Amino acid sequence: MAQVRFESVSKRYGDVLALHDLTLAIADGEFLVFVGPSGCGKTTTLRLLAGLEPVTTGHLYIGDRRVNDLSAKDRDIAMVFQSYALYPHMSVYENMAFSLELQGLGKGEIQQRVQRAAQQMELEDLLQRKPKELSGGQRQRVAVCRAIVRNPAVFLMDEPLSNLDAQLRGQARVEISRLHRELGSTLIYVTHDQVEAMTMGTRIAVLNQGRLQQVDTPQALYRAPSNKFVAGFIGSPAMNFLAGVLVETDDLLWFKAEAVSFPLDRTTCPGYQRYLGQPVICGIRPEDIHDAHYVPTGLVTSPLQGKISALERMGNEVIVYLTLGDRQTYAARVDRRSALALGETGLFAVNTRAIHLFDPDTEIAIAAQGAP
Amino acid sequence: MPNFLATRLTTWVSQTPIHLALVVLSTLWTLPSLGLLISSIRPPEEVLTTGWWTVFQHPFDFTQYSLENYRTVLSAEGLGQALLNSLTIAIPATVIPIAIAAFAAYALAWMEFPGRQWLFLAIVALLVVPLQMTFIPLLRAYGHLGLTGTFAGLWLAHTGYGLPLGIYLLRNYIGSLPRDLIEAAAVDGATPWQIFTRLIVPLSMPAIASFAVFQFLWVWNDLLVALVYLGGTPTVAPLTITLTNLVGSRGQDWHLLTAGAFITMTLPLLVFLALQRYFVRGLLAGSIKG
Amino acid sequence: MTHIFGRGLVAALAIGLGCGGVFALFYGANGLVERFAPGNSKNRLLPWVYLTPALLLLAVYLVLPTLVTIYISCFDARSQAFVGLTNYLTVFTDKTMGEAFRNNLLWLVGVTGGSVSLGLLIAVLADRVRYEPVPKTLIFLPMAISFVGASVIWKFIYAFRPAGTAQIGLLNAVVTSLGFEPVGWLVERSINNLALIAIMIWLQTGFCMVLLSAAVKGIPQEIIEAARLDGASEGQIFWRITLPLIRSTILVVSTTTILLVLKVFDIVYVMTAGNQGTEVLASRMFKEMFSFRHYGRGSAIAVLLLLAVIPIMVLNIREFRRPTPLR
Ligand SMILES: Nc1ncnc2c1ncn2[C@@H]1O[C@H](COP(=O)(O)OP(=O)(O)OP(=O)(O)O)[C@@H](O)[C@H]1O
Ligand SMILES: [Mg+2]
Repeated sequence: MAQVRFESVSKRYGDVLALHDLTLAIADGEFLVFVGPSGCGKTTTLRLLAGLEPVTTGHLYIGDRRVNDLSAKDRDIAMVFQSYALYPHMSVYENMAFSLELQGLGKGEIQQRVQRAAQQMELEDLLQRKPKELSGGQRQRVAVCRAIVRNPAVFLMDEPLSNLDAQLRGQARVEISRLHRELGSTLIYVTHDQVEAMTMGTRIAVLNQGRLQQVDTPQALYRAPSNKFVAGFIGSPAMNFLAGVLVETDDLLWFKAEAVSFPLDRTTCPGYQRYLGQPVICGIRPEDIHDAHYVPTGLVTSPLQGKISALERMGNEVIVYLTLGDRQTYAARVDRRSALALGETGLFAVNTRAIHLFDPDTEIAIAAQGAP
Repeated sequence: MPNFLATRLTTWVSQTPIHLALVVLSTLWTLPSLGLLISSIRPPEEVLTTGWWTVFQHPFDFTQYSLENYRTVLSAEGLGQALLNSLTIAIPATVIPIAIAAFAAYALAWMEFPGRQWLFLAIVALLVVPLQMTFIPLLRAYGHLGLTGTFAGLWLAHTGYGLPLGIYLLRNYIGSLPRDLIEAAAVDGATPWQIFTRLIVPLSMPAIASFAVFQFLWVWNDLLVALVYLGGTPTVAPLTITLTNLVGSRGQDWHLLTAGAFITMTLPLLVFLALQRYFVRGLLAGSIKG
Repeated sequence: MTHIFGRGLVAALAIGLGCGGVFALFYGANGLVERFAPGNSKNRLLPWVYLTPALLLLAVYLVLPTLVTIYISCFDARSQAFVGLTNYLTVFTDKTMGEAFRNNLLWLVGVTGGSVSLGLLIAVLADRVRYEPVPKTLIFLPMAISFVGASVIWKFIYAFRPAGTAQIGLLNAVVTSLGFEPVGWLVERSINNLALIAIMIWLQTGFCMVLLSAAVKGIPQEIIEAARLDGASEGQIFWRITLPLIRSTILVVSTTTILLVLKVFDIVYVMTAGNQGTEVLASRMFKEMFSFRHYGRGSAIAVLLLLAVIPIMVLNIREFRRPTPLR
């Protein structure tokens, strides 16, 4: 019922193009996460959909209705704001009842629905409190509760967890995912935290500077980023990038950079032919650089020597920062047993099958360009 | 311990000039009103023959006090009617501008329309206009329309004169409410009217109270505007006009004048003492009233 | 008894009608637009529904009259014949008007200087004692009193009885007890203006004190302590630290007081009706309007007031551009 569709939607604030030509269909019941760096247009996208701003060009659909000209109150959506926006002069109960009252529901039904929603979020004991008498976590739950009590066609959430501490944030992530499963409504969620995006979304839409970069499931986004921005944005620590050239010798394909060179597997780089002898950018995820002593079995690797400039022992793993002699620092995520030490030159193994190649001008993944 | 007491004593003593100055100034500021209050409750013969400070020779001799003066001014001198008139003037002349200014402030702060900022600036600029600038044309218009000497005419005049300050004050306050709250209400299904009545008004109560106290005191204490638009009609004259007339006609009857003056002062003093906090806020923001 | 009751009822009815009317107006207009305006035009119409009453009143009560006043200031008494700048010339050459100008200037200097410096003094002194609210409230209290009420209070203080009889005015009682002749404070041309100015200072000092006190309290305590550690005496701290730091508030308070004094009317009107050389611009204008029915000259005086206000106001608004101290 509540499918959401953006058709060539753009938004311009004076000179700023906040959203550029967004076309995207979100299926009924989907949990779609918008993610991207600060100022990339995530909030703008939500506000356009909510009807809080008019679109500059393009069409917006919720269900079968074109909603461009509908005001916020007629779009059948609920929104959770980053600041929660709880009405400070109303109790928790009144906050939740407000929208139902405006719909003209009877006292009895309002009470019933508020009670049910409060039960779902375990807020029954707080109904008579004012927002300022609540903790941050409780406020956040009230804000979510105020949205679900309406039972809207679409939920919008704008960084609802960014004001919580790390532990509460973990709990709230689980909570919201559970709610989404129970309610089965379409949920559009904005965050700049990629952990939230990866763990919660059924699909993720990556935005940068007002442009949609890629939409896909979390796994696909991680495995096959379609451009250098997405590759660098998803994953932590971020993917390492090296500039070099692509050359072919005998039956091997080589990536050659100033400090290192790797043999590549042709089958993992379709479309490489156009770049032979040309500069390319090579991307390696930190988790694809291993301590040479602890390489998982069955990997095709190429050796790499680097000087260790910093170490972060996380307990379950070690993040190693190394230099290769080209003044850049690269990150590696290695086995926790690793005995590498600061200042040493360590021996690493790079999983060459997991290497990504990008066009240095367009920054588009060479694999994603397909055959021309 | 005695040491501690000694230091406190020495600081107290070294501050003597400060205490002295404060006591003298406070007394100086209070004496005039005190004299008025005491005179108003003394019998006429005594008010007119001896100074009010003579009551302090026997302050607890209650036979020297009486409320007779109040009874006289309220009935015979028409101050009772004037009190009613003042209320009839001041309450609507406070409520009407609040309502009109609040709606305008809401539109100026949160509704989209072209020229919004310019309009606000233009309204604030009207704070400059001295009321005297408007009297002659308005008085003529009132003459034609038959509004001279009516309450409605005075309400509207006070509303017009109070609006620039009211809109300025309320727009600044309403404009500083969090945007998210208003948008949350819009998403929750509230119409602009519901956003205004259910959200803006309750949340803006401090600013509304400031403006209310300010405007009420201003209207209650006003003489000039009332004189201009009400003319000499005694049936509609507020306290300020009646008291002024009393000064003219019974200039030496201090027992009546003091009682009359005290009657005009009671309500504003009560309002003032009860809502001083809001009044100060209104003053801080409204000290540029025209 | 029923008489009073009836009159009270009429008053209550009038109040209800006035207050209820304005709400009914907005409710009705809003309802009409919500119901009958086609979907898209509603959002464009609503702001104007909410604004129109305000704009209408502002136009009718401030904008248009101001323009008309400027216009008729160039006409004769009955606004029939165009006389150019004659009214302004008369205003500037007339003897009583000269007096009014002189008095207004005296008021400006006296009231502004007196109430600002007294207000500052009290603010600074009260800041150093534990019973601070008491003197501050007592001095602030006259703010609630009307100019008319204050005039009666002070008329009583200035009351004059011929020498030999008991004085009932406080001031003459003091004067005679010191062995001098009683003084006619309000008729003696050398002092009657000062006697009026004193009333205004009494009323206005509280206002200056409240704003200046807020400013004094706004100075971070560390700065004062740092100066004390540097060896500054209390006097030096006041002149070299406090005063410069509250300079802008002093400016605002002064300009506000100037604006108020420029238009002072009630005190003069009640106390002396502008006689015995106490005329000021506003009382003069009132006379031109109601006693002489000379609308041309009355308007010319009003225009002069506006011209005097504008530069002061510009200065004030420049200061007020900074965040308002409202919250
Ligand atoms: N009302 C506005 N007027 C002008 N520019 C705006 C307005 N709102 C947003 N922008 C601009 O549009 C761009 C996108 O803003 P948006 O708020 O959507 O970013 P965001 O992705 O939500 O960032 P964040 O993660 O910091 O919340 C920014 O460059 C911002 O400066
Ligand atoms: Mg945002």
